Amino acid sequence: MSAADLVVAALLLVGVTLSLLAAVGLNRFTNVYSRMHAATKPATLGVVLVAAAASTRMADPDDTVKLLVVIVLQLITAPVGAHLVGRAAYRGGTPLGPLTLDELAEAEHRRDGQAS
Amino acid sequence: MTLRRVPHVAWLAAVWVALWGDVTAGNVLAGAAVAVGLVSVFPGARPGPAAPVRPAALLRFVGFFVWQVIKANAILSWEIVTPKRHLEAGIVKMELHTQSDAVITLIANAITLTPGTLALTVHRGGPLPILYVHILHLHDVESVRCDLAQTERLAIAAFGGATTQQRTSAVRR
Repeated sequence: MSAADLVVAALLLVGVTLSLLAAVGLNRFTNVYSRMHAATKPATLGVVLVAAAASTRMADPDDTVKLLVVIVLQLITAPVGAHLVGRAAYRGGTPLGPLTLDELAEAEHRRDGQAS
Repeated sequence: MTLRRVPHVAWLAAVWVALWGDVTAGNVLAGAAVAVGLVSVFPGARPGPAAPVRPAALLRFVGFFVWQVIKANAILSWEIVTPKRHLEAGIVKMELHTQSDAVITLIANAITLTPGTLALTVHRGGPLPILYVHILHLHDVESVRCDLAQTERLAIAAFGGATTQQRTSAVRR
């Protein structure tokens, strides 16, 4: 087993572990927003690491290119999805759980005050 | 379809060809057809005027971003495996010193992928666009704000136009 094999194996293991942790986080956290944190960060890096590891082991260079496109698209789309779910939840009035600070609510108050 | 859309179409077609993995006439034509279709259906997704990319600043941004992503994952993983739940969540606002949709999108995406921060919404209409960010840990609001500002500053340094940058340094002073 060469050093390169070890690196690839490590990438795969860390990637898989992060994906598992993302799933556990989705179950464990208690509100939409915390769950989106769990769904974007570890899940994204997990997929990226697994794809990166696999891309070094492809017999066909075409497949390596495909996996690199997967990585780029994952990095672009995951935060957009999380952002839309978060914004929809906020606009829909989903309970935020205990917040110590909410500057968005303050801004909306001010805006409502000006409107009336 | 104007000429300004050509780079956009070419980029989408290139992604299509990369996904099929073969550069054949059929793939290129199909990719171009899909790209033209997409750009016609979503004309709103228009690329702004090409901003000059500064390679050194871009490297700094990417380096900082990668480091933040690794940190985010370590912290969040620890959070998930430790049973205690003393999360002090909150929403903070940050002013963005750019008007470019592309740079705002980049900043929001970078923030969502970094430690305990999730971009919620952007308010435009004031002199500066305002980004509202959901924070998982508000133990130290000032250090959170500091990290957010750092992300913004590096993104603008890499992609923002010269005028935007002057405005940023003027505001910071």
